[in-house]
Formats: sequence, structure tokens, C-alpha cells
Amino acid sequence: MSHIPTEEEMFELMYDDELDIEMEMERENRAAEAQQQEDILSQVTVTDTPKQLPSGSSDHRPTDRQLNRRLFDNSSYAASGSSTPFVANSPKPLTPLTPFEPLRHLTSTQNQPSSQGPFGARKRCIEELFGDIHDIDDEDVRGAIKRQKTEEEIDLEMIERILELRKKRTVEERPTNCDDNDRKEALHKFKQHNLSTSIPKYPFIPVTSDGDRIYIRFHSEDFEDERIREIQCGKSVGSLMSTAAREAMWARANEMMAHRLITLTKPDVMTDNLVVNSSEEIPAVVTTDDSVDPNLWVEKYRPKRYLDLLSDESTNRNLLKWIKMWDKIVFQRDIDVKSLKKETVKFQQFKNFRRKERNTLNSDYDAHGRPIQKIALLCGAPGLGKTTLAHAIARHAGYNIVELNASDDRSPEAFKLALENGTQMKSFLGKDNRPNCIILDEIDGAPKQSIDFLIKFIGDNVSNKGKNKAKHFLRRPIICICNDMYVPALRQLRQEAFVVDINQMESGRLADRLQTICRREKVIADYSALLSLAEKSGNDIRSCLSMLEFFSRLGKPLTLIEVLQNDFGQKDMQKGLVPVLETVFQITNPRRTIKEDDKSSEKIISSADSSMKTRVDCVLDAIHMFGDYNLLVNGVYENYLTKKMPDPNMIGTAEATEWFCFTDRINQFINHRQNYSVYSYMQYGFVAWHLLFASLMWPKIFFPKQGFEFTKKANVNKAVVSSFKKGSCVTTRGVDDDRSAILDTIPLLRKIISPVIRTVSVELMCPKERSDLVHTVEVMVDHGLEYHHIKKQDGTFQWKLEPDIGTLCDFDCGFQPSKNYLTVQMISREVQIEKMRRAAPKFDGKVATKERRAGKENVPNHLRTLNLNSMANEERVTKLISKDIFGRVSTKSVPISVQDGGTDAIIKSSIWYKYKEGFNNAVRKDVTINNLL
Amino acid sequence: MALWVDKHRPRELSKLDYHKEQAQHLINLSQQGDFPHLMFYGPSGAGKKTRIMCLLRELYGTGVERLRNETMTFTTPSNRKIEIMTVGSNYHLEVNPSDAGIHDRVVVVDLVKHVAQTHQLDPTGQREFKVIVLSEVDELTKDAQHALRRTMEKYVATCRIILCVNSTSRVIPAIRSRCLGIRVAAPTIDEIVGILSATCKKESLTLPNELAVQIAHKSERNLRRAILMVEACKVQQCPFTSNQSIADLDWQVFLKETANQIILEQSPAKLEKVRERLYELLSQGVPPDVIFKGLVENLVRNCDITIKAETVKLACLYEHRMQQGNKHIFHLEAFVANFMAVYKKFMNDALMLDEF
Repeated sequence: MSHIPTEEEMFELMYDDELDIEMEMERENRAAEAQQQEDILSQVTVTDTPKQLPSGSSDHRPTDRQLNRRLFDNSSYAASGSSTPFVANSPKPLTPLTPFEPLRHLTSTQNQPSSQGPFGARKRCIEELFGDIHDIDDEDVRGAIKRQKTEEEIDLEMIERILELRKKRTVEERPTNCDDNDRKEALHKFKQHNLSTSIPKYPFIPVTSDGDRIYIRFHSEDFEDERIREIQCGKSVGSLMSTAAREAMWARANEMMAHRLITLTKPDVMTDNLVVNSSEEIPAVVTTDDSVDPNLWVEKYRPKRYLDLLSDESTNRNLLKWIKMWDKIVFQRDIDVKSLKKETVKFQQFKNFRRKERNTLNSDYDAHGRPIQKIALLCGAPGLGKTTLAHAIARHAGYNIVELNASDDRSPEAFKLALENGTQMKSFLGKDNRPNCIILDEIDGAPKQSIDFLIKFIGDNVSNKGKNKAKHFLRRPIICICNDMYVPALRQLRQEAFVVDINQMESGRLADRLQTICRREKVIADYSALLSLAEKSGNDIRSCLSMLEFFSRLGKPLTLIEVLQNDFGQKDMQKGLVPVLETVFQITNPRRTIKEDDKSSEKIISSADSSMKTRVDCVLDAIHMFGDYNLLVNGVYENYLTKKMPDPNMIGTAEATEWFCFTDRINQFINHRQNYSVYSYMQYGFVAWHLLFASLMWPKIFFPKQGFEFTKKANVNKAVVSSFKKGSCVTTRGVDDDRSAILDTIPLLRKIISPVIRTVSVELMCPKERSDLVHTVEVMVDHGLEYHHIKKQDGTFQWKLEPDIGTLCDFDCGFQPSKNYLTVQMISREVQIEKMRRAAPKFDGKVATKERRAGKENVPNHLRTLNLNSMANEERVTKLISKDIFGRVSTKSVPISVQDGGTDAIIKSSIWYKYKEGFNNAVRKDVTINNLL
Repeated sequence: MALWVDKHRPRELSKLDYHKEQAQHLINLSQQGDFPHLMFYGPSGAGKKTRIMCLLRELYGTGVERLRNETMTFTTPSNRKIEIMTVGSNYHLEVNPSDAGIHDRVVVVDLVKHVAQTHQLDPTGQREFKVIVLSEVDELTKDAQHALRRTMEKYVATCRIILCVNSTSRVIPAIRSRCLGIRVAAPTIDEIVGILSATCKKESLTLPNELAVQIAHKSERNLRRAILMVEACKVQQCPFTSNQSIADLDWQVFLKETANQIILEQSPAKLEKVRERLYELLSQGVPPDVIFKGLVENLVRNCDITIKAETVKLACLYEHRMQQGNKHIFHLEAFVANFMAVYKKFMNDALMLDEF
């Protein structure tokens, strides 16, 4: 596009995602206004429907469809062509968060699937530049103000603005949506009561089509009118619709629901949309109770847009930045790297001070214009909205989402296929051809090979086989989602990826959202109850919503007592070692609990209870969840001494150590006898330690590693001792068992083998030095000790004892053996010589004499040749008797062949000369090892 | 055989330096040609192994001195391979089953059966039985000891077992009753002094009597240690003088320093420092009971008479518990902490008394 951007457009380019958000918000504002009209529009249709239905004409099908279209005003719906729309309901028309779906079609935003066009990948650019022209005036003014500020200020302002608008939006939404919702709900219920797919109890007319049967309720004309008036009236009054009629309706809905629950045997009826009721004669498809919505709340209230996200703003922004960085290659559109960089740096400082190096977004591009970190890894506990975040952000950035989760085949082959399809192909069948973004959900469960492939894939190391040598390279963003990022299989991925930790959100924020939902769903719940619900579930949005839905189906108001009393919803969270230790060492803020009053059996909510009992319960809960008592004991053991002491007289400490002994003994008992009946006593040590050492302050916990280091060191030392024992000669019985070796032999041996010797040659030594040297050498050879020449890291050389008994029994206080380089070198040389000397004489002395006695001449090497094994030579085979190291006699026959021409004087001499072309070692001499010693 | 300990070790029962009456008994025993299972017990460095080797030589002749090292491999039920070093001659086999740690039972069962089930084809040249020397039997697990007791009875025709034990208290009574116990007491100071002088004479050195006595005291009547100490002294300073310094054992010095620190200050911070030192000792392989003993000796020496008994009592309690447990450091620290508490209380009381 040969368009030279003006200044405003440049600005837009720089801050396009902020603008995106702003635009979105403006659209919504406009949408909210437009909604009024829509309401009126749909009112008309509503009034029409019931009148048409009871007429029960035989050509019901077009009527149905018409009804549908008018009801939901969704053209795409008609295309789905279902004859029984109440059975196969599309979720779209009923999601209250997007009640202005039609309007969004008109505005043709980038997020809308319907906004397809021939522009393809560059669609966004065009939109960005021309699409929202009417916004520009507005934008212009703001931009002018903004430009005078620094970028940081703009960012901050932006965040504030987003948050503010978000609040405003929720406030705005509440009345309108409630209103809208009420009406819809009532209508739906009305429909529910009048239409049924199973045989109803009331008078009805059956209507059949394609084997499906719908029963339409018979009502008197008056009743119909009354009901319709009621609904209309309800709309106009808004949320104040609490008349008797509504009460009755509510009651009926509940009654029906209860009925459903009883009749349907399947317990997970709420999750299933369709249950085939085969017991009845007529094969009818029964919808589960769709008095409200066929979807679960979790699905229904899943944030669809960036603004709806509940997770931490900086986390969202970081991920958004990352995905925007892909724009350069995906949409061929430049974004300002500099501004990105600044923002990432700032967001790092902002809030998340514990963020580590690897979590920072690397805002550099590689040679192909892709971000350096080609993959994003979202991790966090279940139910924090990781999947939602990934989907919302990918959609926001204009991608088509290809999801691959644990339910798919993730063998390496299937994985490869999916990845290649996702990144290299474009869907033509769908309604749009936006670029794909792959979301790999639940990747921590994938097989290692698949993840290895993924790493290769993002590293562009996968070359296509065959003729097509052109190397594939990744052009699409990939987002991975996992719960536990420390799974071994993910280790390598973790280093390559841009890791985003999804932290727990604040309970308050979640409770706010829950309250909104409650209001919308007409569940009576007070804020404190919601807050405690959020706390109870560990801020797991999913479980909170499920709980709320459960309560709403029960039809009871949600109170604090209900929340506290019920056992469900409590999240079985596995905490890490350090948090559990923190609970042991800290008096935690008391949680609200329920107390049963014995006399009146009334339930009292006690909030400020820090009694012994609650503290004990709290600690026990925490350690039960962790499970591994031994690790915990180690953790407590290595931390308890740094904690506040109960008294200066060490009595508390002494008591604590008693408990360590106790746990150790129990543990040993269990391991030894395999008797787990005493296992439950292990836990009470933690209670004791808690009561002794817990304080209100935040405890600083160190990860226990002392014990581990100790074991490692002990193993090394053990290995040294055993190699020392192996090395020593059989006759040296002074090295006894391990115990005496460590206690007596080795410490003294170290002194014996390091005598004080001047660094002079052996000839110049005084007799004492010489005898010391000889003795040292003998001892060292006996025990298989020798010095090795090693190069240190700084380049200097050093002699190292092998096996290194120098490190054994090496306490700081003790003596340091002299480590004079030259002395050690001399000793080492002598040791080597002594070793050879010991190995040699067995063959030197006796073999030689035997040979001499046999009268055979020593044949020089150069005269030896291989002869035919003739009979004559066989006689000359001499039996050689040799002894092995231990002096045992072993006989072996050595064939010796002697050439006859040994009379020559030259040949007899030990020095000879022979010309050999190409060799320079023509002069040779026989040298035995003895001559060298 | 360069270390004096090995070089001057007596090889025949008749040449033993002390416990001569006992040596005579052993000679008589071996001359009968047959003997029950034996259990030599006594402190470290008293000469148990020496006596065993002498006895074997008395039985089989010089053949037992032709020793060879062998590495045997065993497979545990859990399919782990364990390597055990054995030393043996044609007539006997010496093994330390506690090297196998908790798998010592396999070693005992497999090894003893393997040796015992092979009969001597030609008994004319030698005895009808082989001898298995098991060292450090008191370190064996209870399982292994129980495995041993039946094998001892079953294969008595083909093999004799000689046990080498530091303390009989950790050997199960069933084994104790199956063996003829032979106590090898540590040599007295005088005996050690005599041996040291004789050794030095053989090395053509003169050892002043005072130095010999000092070394004998310092070695805690451990003959091996004493001889090694003399040798170390010789390396330090060759013509011996009567007041020369004697090489200390590093771990003893370290333990003493630890005990002093405990006496100096009693606080959790100190306890943590002490723990580090204890870890250091344990990681070097110093057995925990030795640490206990060393600590108690040094503490008792330094503290007031009124809490001496209390200290020893505490040490007994925690040493006993340590045997029931697995993590030695817990029990050592518990002892130190409790001592600190006792000591602190005593000091506070003393201060109070002073004030009044």
C-alpha cells in the first residue's frame, strides 16, 4: 500500500492496541445506546410469537424458523437449518454478554467472523486506516494531548483508563443487561411452559416433523394475553419486576427443575445438553432443563473480549505485547519496537517485583522479523483463566484459533501434522481466512517426544524431506498452556519460551464479577458470601461459577453460612514446600468458620477465631495437602533455629528437638516394619513446632538443602574410602574396616606420607630425609596411592593424591600437609619407579636365569622372524615358569625360534644398523625397563 | 607392608605380645583340629584380627597368608547389584557384610551358603572345613543376623564361622549362644609401651619411655593407633625426644572444639553452628556413636559437677534413640540442645544465688 501515513496514523500505529481497546469500548457505548432500539424491536417480535404458536398450523416449519429469526435476529442461525431449534440451540443468541450481536455485524470489527473480505491478511491495516473514520475526530484531540506526555505516563494513564472504563462498563451493563435478561428469561420460561418435547402434563397439541414431536400447550385466550402483558410490563418496569406473577413463575421454574432432577437418573445432567430418553416409547429427544440456558455458566460467562478478562492487567498486557510482535511477520506491519521495550521494562517494575529474568519479554526480533521468543508458555493453577486469556488475546489480535488439547491425539506424528497444518495452511472452508494461532492446551501432559518435536519446530530445525529442500520456518504464534511448568518434559521449552505466570487474582475482583453474575442470574447472594466463596476455592473462577450455578439451581439464597457449611468447592490445592512451611511458622489470619452451638444447635459465624484449635487445624490441613512428611520435617529442621525463640533458656528448642527425634523414630519404625498404623503420629510434630515457633510475622523460609548437601558429601567421601580400600595391597591389614580406617589409619597415614623433605636431589639428602622418602614411597605404593598431575583452572599445575584421602578427615583445625610442588613431584616420580620395580623382578630375575640355564641365546629382536611351525621347532619350545604378582607359579610355553646365522659379530652386538627407506629411526638399541630405573 | 602396623604384626600365636595365656588356649584349641564357631570381641585396635589370622595359620599353615582380593557380586531381591570385596586364601574367606548396607542379609545368605555348600574333595591335605571370617557383625542388621543363625547350625560340618565384633551387645543372643566367645581386651598402657619400644628397636630407633607412655595414653589403648602415631612422630621428628609433640587426630581436635563452643554459648544461633560442625563430622564418615562419646567426654570434663550426671543421662537417652532412628543428626542435635538447656538453667541458678 503506497500510503504515506500522516502523523495521526503514525500515532495510531504506535498505540494501536490501546486504540483497539478504546475503540472496542466506544463501540460498546454506542451499542448500549442502540440496544434501546433493539429492545423495542424484539418486543414486537415477542408479542407476535405466542399468538402464532397456538394456531398450530400444519405448515409449522416456516413459522418456527420465522419465529426464530425474529426472536433472536440472527441470520446465521437460520442457515443451520435445524427443524427443532429448541433442541439444538446455538449458544450465541443467549449469551447475555453480547446482546448486541447484530449491531456488531454492522460495525464490522476485526473480531467479527462475518467481516470477511478479499483483503485477507491485510484486512486489519485497511481497517485501521480507514475503517473507523468517524472515530478520528475524537481520537485526534486526545492524541494531541497525549503526545506531550512521556510514554510512561501514557501507559499509566492507559491502564487507569482501561480499569476505569472497565468499571464503568460493568456499572452500565448491570441495569441494561439485567433488564434485557429479565425479559428474555421470562420469555424463555413462558416458552418453556408452553412448548415441550416430551409429553407434558397439561393439555397439548402434538406437532410432528421429521420424527420429532413438539407439544404445544393449550391455554385459554385470556391466559395468553395476561401472560404477554406480564412480560411486557415486566420489561417496562425493569428489574423491579417482583410481582406475584413473577414469584409464581419462579416457583414453577424451580418446581420443574426439581422434577427434572428427580426424573433424570443421570447425575451429570447439567453438563449434558442432550440426553436420549430411551425408556419411553416415542424416541424423543429431551433437552435438559433449559429454563435458563443450555450452557453452563462457566461457558456462558467466559470472557469473550480483552476487556472482560479478570486476570492481572500487567500479565494480560505482556502477553498481548508478545502476540503483537508477531504482527510484523504475520500481517507485514511494523510496530514500534522501542515503545514495546519501554513498556516491558516498565511492566516489569510494575507490581510484579518477584518476576525473574526469563519471564521478561524479549522485545528483539530475529532475522526473519519474528520475536526471539517464538512461543509463549502460560502457567498457573487450574481455573485461573489461562485458556480464556489465550483465546481472548489471540482473538483480539486477529487470529483464528487452532486449539490442540489433551483430548486430541498428541503422539509425535499427530502433533507434527497438527502443527504443520496450523502454521502453514489457511482454512478456506471457514467463513474467514484470518491467520491461525495455535494454542496448545494442557501441554504438561503431552509426551516428551512431542514436546521435543515442538522445540525443534520452533527452532526451525525441521527440514522437509524429499525434493523440497526449502526449509520451513515458523510464521505463526504458538501459545502453550500448562498447569505445572516444572514438569521435566517442559524443561527445555521453558528456556526457549516466553513464560507468563498467571497468578491468583484478588478475591475482591472475583467477588465483584460473581456479584455481577448473581445479579444477572437472579441469585440472591451477599457480597461477603461471595468473597468467602472465592477465598475458599482459592480464587478458582471456574469452581466459583460452578458453585454459584449449583446454588442457583437449588433455588436457595447464597449466604455465608451456606458457603462455609458446605464441603464442596474446597479446592484441594497442592502447595509448594515453602508455602506449607510458611503456614507452619506463621500464625495465619483466621478464616471464617462455622461454630455449632451445642445448646441451641445454632450456627454462629465466628470470624476472629485464632484459638489453638483453629491454628492446629490450619497447620494440619496444610501438611496433609503436602503429603511428603519427610521433606517437610527437613524443611522445619533447617528453618526452626532462625525463628523467633519462645524463651532464652533453650527449653523450647530442646522440646522441638525432642519432636524431631520422635518423628525420626516413627519414620524408621514404619520403614523397617512396613507398619503404617503409626503414620498418623508423624503429623503432630508440626503442630508442636507451630505452637513453639509460629509468629505473626512473615517467616523467611529457606529451602532445605543442608541435608541434601550432607548426603552428597558423605557419598563422595564414602567412595573415596572404598577406592582407597580397594587400592591397597592385600598384605596391608592395617587398613581394617571402614570405621578404623576413618578414625585411625587415614588421618595418621596422611601425616606419614607427607614428610618434610628439602627440595634437593635424592643424592644430596641427609639420611633421615632419604629414609623418610623411601618409607613414604613404600607406604604409598602399598596402599595404591599416587599423585596425579592436574591442571588447575587458573592454568597452574598441581599434584593431586589419588584416591584423594587428603579431603578425608580434613577439618579446618587440623594440620595441612606440605604441598611443595617440587617435593611432591619427586615423591611421585619415586612412586612410579617403585611401582615398576615391583612389577618387574618377577620376570627379570627368574625368567632370565632359567633362560640362561637352558643355554639358549638371547635373540635380538631384529633377528626374530616368523617361521613355519616345523617339527624341529617344536622341540625347541621351552617351558617358561613365571610367577604372577602374588608369587603363584604359572607355566606357559613360549615358542622361541632362533635363526642359525647368529655367529655374525655384528648381529651379536646390541647395536646394529639397518638401512630402511623412509624411516629415520634406523639406529636401534635394545633397552630394557631395568636400564631406565 | 611398609606401615609398621603391618610390618611388625605377629604372625604366630606363640609370638603374641600380650594375652599370652589366651594365646596358649588358642593353640590348644587348634591342635585338636576342630573347634566351634568363634566370636572374637573387644575394642578396636586390641588385636582381634591379628589373633584370628594367627589362629588360621596355626590351623592351615602358611597357606593362609597367600591372600588374594576378590570382588563378589550379589543380586538383591530388588534386582540391585551389590559388589563386596572379600579377602581370602585357599582355606578361608574374610568378608565385611556390613559394607552392603541394608542389603547385608543377601550377602550373608548367599556367601555363607556358597562357601559352605562346597565340600572339600580331598581332605587329606587340609582340614575338612573352611573358615569364614565375618567382621563387624555388630553392624549387621537384625535381619542379617537372623539369617546367619540358622546357616551357622546347618553347615557346621563344612565350615566354621569366626565373627569379629566390637561389642557383643549388638549381636543377637541367638548368635552369641552359638559361638565360643573370646574376649580380646585392649592392651594395658605398660604392654603398649613395651610393644612400641620393641617396634622401634626393630626399626633401629630409640624411643624415649616418656614419649611411649604419652603416646600410649593418647591412643586410648588402641594399639593400631599407637603404632601409627609413633610412625607419624618419626616422620615429624626423627631422633625422638621425650617432649616432642604427638600428632593429633583431626576429628578429635574438631570434636573438642565443638564441645568448647557448646560450653561457651547456649543459643539457637550457636546450635545452628554446632549443627554445621556435626554435619561436617558425619559427612567425613565419623560414626555417630563416636561423636556422642567424644562430645560427652569433653562436655563432662568442662561442666560443673552437679550437671555431669544429667549430661551423661541425656547422652545415654539420645544415643539409644539414635539407634532406633535413622537420621543421626536429629539425635545429636537433640542432645546438644538439651544439654544447652540444662547448662543454661544451671548457669542462671548460679547467677541467682550469687545475687542473693
